[in-house]
Amino acid sequence: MATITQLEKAGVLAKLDAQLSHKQQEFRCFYASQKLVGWLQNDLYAATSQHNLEQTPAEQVDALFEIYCSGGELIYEWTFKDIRPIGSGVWEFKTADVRIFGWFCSVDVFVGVVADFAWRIKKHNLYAGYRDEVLRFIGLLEIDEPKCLMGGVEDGIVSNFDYPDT
Amino acid sequence: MGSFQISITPTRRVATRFISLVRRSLLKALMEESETSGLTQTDVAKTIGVHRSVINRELRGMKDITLGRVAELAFSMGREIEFNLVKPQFEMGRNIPKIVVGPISAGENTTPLVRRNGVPTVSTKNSNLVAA
Repeated sequence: MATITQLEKAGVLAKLDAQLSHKQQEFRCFYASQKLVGWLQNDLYAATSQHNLEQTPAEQVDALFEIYCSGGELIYEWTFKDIRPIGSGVWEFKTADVRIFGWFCSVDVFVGVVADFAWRIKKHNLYAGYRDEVLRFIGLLEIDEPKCLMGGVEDGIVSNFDYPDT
Repeated sequence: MGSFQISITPTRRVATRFISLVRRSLLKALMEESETSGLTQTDVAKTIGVHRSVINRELRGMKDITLGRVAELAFSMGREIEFNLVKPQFEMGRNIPKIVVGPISAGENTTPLVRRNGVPTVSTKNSNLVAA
């Protein structure tokens, strides 16, 4: 069994460098599977916003990563959300056009496994498939126990979050 | 595999993060007003004269926000906007002001020790000790 840092050194996971400004400090960590890194560095750049937004999907993800890594306030259900069934340990990070699926291996340490465009996930109903892909990835990963933080948003898995005004 | 980045141009990185910052500031203000005075997205929408779903989509990032709408949203929340363009005080790799040390002359106007950002330092009109 290995730690997350050892898995990074072994090339199983890659750590996100969020390109924070000199005024910011990294408070949260984001790791990615090889598959996710490939998607972020290839598929993501070719895409345009399905909502005709000024921010391209790649720019949306960059802004999301900045907020996440710098410890900014996350909005439950708007920027991150647990995947049903709640408590399975699988979470998604969201922008207008992108969804990133993964899990928290410890508080404020997220491991992204797979990502896709929101329109595609909704059109083909891919949520369950991606949830299961994350669970399979966790199962195969030789990482120290507990592999995955279980529980909901109130269980202290993520720091500094709030709920939207509804 | 090491580390990876989202590769976008520096200008677009600044732009996208600014858009995100403005949106979060608006949302934070609405949350605070909601907590203190019970203001809702519906109230904001009524003041501006649009449907609530428009406000919701703008705050969620599903719809672009114009500069005019930023002002309308702020007004509807009873807030004012402060907008400044400042020169950066800090440089990459340095998170404290650059100190240039020179000869110190202890004149009448010298204040021996003051605290700047919590750090004791010398501040005097006659001194060459400046924060650059």
